[in-house]
Amino acid sequence: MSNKGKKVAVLNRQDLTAFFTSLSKRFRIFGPSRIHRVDSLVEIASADAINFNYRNMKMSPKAFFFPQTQTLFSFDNESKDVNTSEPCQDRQRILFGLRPCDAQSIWLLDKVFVENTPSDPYYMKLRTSTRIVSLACTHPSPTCFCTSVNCGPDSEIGADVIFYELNGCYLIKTLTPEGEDVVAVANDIVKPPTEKELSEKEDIMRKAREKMKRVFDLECAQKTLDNFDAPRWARLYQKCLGCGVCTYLCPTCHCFDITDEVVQPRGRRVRTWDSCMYQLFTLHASGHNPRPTQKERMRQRIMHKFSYARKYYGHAFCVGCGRCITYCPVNVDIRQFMKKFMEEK
Amino acid sequence: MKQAEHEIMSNVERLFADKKIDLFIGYEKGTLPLRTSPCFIDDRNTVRRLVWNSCCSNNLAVYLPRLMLHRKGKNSKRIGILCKGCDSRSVVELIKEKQVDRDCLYIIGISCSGIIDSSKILSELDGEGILSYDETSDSIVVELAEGERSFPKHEYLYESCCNCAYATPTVYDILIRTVQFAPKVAGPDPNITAFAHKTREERWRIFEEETSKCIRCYACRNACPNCYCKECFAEQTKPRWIGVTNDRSDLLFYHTMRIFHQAGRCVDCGACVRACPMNINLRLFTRVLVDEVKERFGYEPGVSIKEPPPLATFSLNDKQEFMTEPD
Amino acid sequence: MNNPYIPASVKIDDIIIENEAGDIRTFRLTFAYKKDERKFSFLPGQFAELSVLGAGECPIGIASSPTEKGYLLFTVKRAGVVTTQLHRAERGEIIGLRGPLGNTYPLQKMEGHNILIVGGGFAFTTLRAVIKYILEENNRKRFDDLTIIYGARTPGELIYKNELWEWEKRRDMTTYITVDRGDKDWKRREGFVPSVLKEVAPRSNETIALVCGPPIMIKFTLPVLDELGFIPESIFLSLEMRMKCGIGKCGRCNIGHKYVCKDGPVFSFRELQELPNEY
Repeated sequence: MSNKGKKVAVLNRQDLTAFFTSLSKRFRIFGPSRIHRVDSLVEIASADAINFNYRNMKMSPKAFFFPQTQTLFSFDNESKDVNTSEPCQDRQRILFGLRPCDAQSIWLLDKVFVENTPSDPYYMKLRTSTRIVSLACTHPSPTCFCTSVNCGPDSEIGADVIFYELNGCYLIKTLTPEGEDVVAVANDIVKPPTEKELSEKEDIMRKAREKMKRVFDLECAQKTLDNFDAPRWARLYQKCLGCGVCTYLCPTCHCFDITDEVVQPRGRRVRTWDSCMYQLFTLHASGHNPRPTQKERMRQRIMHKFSYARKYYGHAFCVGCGRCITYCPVNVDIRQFMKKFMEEK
Repeated sequence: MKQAEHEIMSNVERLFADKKIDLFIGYEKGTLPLRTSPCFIDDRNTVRRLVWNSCCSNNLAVYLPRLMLHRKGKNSKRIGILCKGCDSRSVVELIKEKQVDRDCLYIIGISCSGIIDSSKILSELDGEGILSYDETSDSIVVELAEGERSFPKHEYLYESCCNCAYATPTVYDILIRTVQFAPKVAGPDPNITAFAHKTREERWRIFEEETSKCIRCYACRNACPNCYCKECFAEQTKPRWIGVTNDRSDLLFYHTMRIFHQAGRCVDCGACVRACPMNINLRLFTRVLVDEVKERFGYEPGVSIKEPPPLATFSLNDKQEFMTEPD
Repeated sequence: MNNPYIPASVKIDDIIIENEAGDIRTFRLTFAYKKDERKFSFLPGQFAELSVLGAGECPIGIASSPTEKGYLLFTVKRAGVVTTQLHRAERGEIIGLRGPLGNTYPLQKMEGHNILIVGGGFAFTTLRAVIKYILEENNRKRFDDLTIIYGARTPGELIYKNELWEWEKRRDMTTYITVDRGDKDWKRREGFVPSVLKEVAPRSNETIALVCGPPIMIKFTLPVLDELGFIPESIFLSLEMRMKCGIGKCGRCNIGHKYVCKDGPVFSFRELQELPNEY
């Protein structure tokens, strides 16, 4: 991996606390923590609260930019006056310790909420005030498949800074001007990397990539993925419960609902997560439903992620985090689907 | 285990050969360690996919309402299904609620001594990769990079299995008996009893705390065989009963309503708890209602097809102290 | 930053009940604030999300042409929660409007061509917009022959009746109005729209066809157009889908890789042939 043009520095492990202390003067810091055996990204007061011994967070980071419930505006139900003032975002935030797959998922969500005009002001406000510091992966989970979807254990896409955990220190690579802002705080305590440290990083990542071999070939599966009428679709959906867990935990799923709520005399219009896997998602007021059974809905989910998104945004909407596989109650496994798609002539 | 598997396969093959069923729902090997997955067989050539082991957790009855809806009438398909004790009780309730036609079903009952909670084992292994696994009559044996580890089954069961009184299905066309690996301690679940004996304030606090984790994904509802409404109250717009957000009031309302919809119907199979991605202890609350209905009306769901549901019938013996002697 | 989720306030100036059953109403709306009126620049084919605070929003095609100054027309059928509330609204009430959204009828492509407009029932709304646009004095010469075939189930279901009779009288267009089943006062033709199309057999060369109607009408109209020699690239349809955001973000209204709210609602038949049949 070329380091050309990107600043690389080394931070000693014992200096991490000082680094965070300096950062916390300007930023709210969210880092990985284990609470009741669950790894989550929570606000931390110091580096000591960080648990580095995790594979990945259970919840994806999308809630930091696209919360489960978001008030779009409130109104007076009598006068129907609309109150558009949004709550202030106090300080800037750092999301520290995101895995490269999750960082890449933010880059994908940006395509929907920022690049696809008109931009979404609620997302933008949270996005522009957040810096992403990812932590490269050295121990993938059995359900990870990032390398099969153009991502990897050290993907730099979506992050402002990437940390590599070496023996006794961290190698820090600054990826964006916003990232420079973050690393600049530690200018006094970082030092340039030695040849030994650089080669240690290459070695660690080479081993990580070896553990993370491609499990399917997206190009090879593409022909069936693009075929709306492939007979495969009639078999794949049967065990799906339509429970929506895959979509809610997926870092790149972004479907939402907009509803009005009234608690007299005030009301609000809210945006909440929704799922294409639900029966009523595409139900017209006339009673017509273009996706009446789980077959159509399962097909929509997979084609949207791997076919339509590629055509629309240029990239599949999947980063291989494996959450959909881990948490599906009936063990629907997208890797298994892809392999079956590859078999189709 | 293997013998039970062979028995299942040969029965299903025979059912297809005799043209007694059009579709069989069972379990197949999962893609993750210690997991199986529901399996739909419509052709005797694929019967070999079926498995039976201590990881066959899913309640397959959940698929019946949607299959039956599509296939009512003279041309309805006949469906074979593998049922453990809890699954068979779900089937009994579905028959009573007219969601499933008994005549369209061929039930292969299988006696079960409890299902392994794979997440308990996985969390002890703390991310260590399982290379392979096997089971003996009383243990799960996993092979890791550094060697083997053995987990005694009775210590790693799902909570809903620990005190289950229904190792043998309550309805079946044919029963496959399996070896019980440990004497069942059927009886009240101590966790549920402890909860029921807490003060009202304490119980409410626990309910609020547990439901605050909810992300309104509806996995609990979709995994439950009892939740077959075409339009769930939580999604109705005419009228809108409940908001769709994860605000505190919406979460409390959703779970309260769902739990009360289960009164007298929930068989405590644990499907909701297994499906919930946020580890909410849902059965703590549904089970309290199950126990209350049992105490009040002497009724347990899923035991007898002939016994009418208590909330749909009135008997002169019904307790009325909540009216005659309110607190 | 401009917030695309906030509706502009509009006043209901007038309400016209279009059909006998009374469940189709046309609302004439004017902007409450001049700045919103100035910003609202649209072309026929586009739609807007009408907002009833407390009930929600519904996507409705703009039935008026930008050549009709000072107001906007929306024809709404009562179907669900929001449209029911809208139908209870009275003159003078303020509602919300977000738009214009979606794409337009292919006006540039239509220039220098004959235009065939085929509409059915309540779906005639945005076709009215494009007809008014074409008929406007300065615009008329940009387009050649204009033929309209419009039908409804019964005479009571026809919308924009007064304008229909006026168009019949005009020399710069040919208008065929039909109903599936007439009543004792009905003097004009009877017949399904696709049958009338076949009978009238407008020429297809140098002609662009705009089709809008219930799915059943579209299903039978397309083969007739094909028989008459229309190629898929010159047939345009306006589709309906359940929508929420209207700006291509909520993921609800897609057909294949296109969003009906952004890449539509107007699609050429050629485009639709390449998209999955899921609408």
